[in-house]
Amino acid sequence: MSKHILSALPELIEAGLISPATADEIVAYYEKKRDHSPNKILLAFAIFGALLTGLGIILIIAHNWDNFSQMTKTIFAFLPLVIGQVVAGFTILRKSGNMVWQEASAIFLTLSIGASISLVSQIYNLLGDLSSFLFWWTLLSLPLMYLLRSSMASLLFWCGAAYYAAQAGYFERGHSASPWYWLFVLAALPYYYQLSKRAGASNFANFHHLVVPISLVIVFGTESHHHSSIMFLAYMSLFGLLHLLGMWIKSWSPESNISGYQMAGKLGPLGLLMWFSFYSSWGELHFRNNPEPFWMGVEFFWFLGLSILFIALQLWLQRQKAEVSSHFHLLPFAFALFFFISMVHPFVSTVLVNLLLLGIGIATVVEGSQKNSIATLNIGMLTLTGLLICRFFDLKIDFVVRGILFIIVGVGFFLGNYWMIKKKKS
Amino acid sequence: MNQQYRFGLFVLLALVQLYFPGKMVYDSNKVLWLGQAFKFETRPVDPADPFRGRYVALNFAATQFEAPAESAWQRNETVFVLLETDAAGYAKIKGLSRSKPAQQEAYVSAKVSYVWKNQVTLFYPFSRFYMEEGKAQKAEIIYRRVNAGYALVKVYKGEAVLEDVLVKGKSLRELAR
Repeated sequence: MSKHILSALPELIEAGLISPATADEIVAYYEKKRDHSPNKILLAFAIFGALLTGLGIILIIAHNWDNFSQMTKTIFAFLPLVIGQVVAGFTILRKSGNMVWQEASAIFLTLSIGASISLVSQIYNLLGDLSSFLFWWTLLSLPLMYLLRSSMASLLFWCGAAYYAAQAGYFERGHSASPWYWLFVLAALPYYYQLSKRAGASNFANFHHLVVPISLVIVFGTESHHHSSIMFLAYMSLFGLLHLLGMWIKSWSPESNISGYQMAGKLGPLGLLMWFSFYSSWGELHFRNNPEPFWMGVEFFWFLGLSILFIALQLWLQRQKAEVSSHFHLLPFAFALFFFISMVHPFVSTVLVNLLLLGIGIATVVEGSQKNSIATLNIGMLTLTGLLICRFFDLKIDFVVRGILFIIVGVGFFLGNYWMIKKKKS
Repeated sequence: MNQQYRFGLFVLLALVQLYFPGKMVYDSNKVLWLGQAFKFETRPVDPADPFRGRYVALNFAATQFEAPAESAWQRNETVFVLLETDAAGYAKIKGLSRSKPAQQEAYVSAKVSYVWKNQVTLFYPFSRFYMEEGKAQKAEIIYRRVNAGYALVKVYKGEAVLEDVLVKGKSLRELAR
């Protein structure tokens, strides 16, 4: 961007649009900015280089070389780890503040920890489930983000922690990532907070804003034990909380791109409501035939805890006069109400969910048109279409009527967008 | 945090990072040197791990045990398996215990895979035999053809290390070469 502007300067001076003094100021501005920001291309190459080398070593190790003696293999197991440590130690002592060295050495060391544990378990045929392997790998690389001040180490840590928790919780039955995953989250949060405060507009911060909510949403399901039905309630509160957290981050770091939080906070509840717009979904909830009452289950405590946090954050944000005027914040309350109604009258809940979705769709379309936002308008339209498609499957409506409804929504899509683009142009 | 402090902490971390795989090596060697050898009859299959590559997964003949009803074993419970050798020279389960057996007994720690009536099925921590990529599948074919073999496992104070898998007295690694 700056290159284009700088190359256009002589032309602008010649045309008399800017004075030579202004041109000098522009040049000085960009030079100063370049001194402060690290060389982004070099940084990107260093990151990819370290990632590919580290992953390459893991793959070469996974070949399981039979021709080497046990001793040789054991030495090779420690080699990448020691090299990684020497480079990282050198970075701390001699290259402190150099982002390229910090990020590349942190990535390489993180991956070589995994390579080393993996080779030792091959040499001695140690079983270790995939989840316990991932656990130790993640734990041993945890301090790197702080010691090397590396955002990539933090990102890899979040991914590793989620992979571990999902593997243990979903695929290796009888294991639970709890409470380790949550301790990992607590340990990594200070770095994430500092990063968002210090460099909210950076790619590193924005990747975190995407990876963190996705990781939380994926792993949260592993908390389901005996009352899986209550998890729907807890998830709704989690979605609400994530949406508010995104707004909270935005309130002190306005340059942050919080689309990950917004996505979780909007698409999550809409997806859940779509699911529960089917009468059969309410029937599949099993809380009635469970011998232990649902309020004794750990899922209910999650629901309560997250709801309290959600309400507290909402009140706090309102007191801070942050912008929280989205109707999405009422969804967890509405859903909880429907959920409890469904224990007695599942049909009433089904009707209420359908009406709510219809209301959300219309309100979002109106909001989009008022704010001149094509994205919001289309989210509203998609909500209405989604609702229509869902009803297409389970209601005994005449084919002609269904066809007409689809045509109406399709034409609405087209006209709405056309009208909005025209409005924006004028 | 100043640089020296940070470096000091890093050196500590580096030592912990080295200690972990180091301890794995040390513990395994201790079992290999000091452990008592048991032959576990096996039937292998060939899967892969995303990080650790190909291995031959072993199914053991000695995995089931008729436990007394009052012991009420649960799924995923950790269990100490007391071992002895049968007439053919293969490992045989002598008994199960929740507490650590006496020093002179040969035992290995395992997990309860599932329980059906009084029959407890066990999962041993040495059911993976890592092999070079490409050889694992060959090994499986050889194994299927012969359909007889055993895993040589060293057992020491509850810890076990799988040393080799033998078919007709020859190492599977040699046969698949």
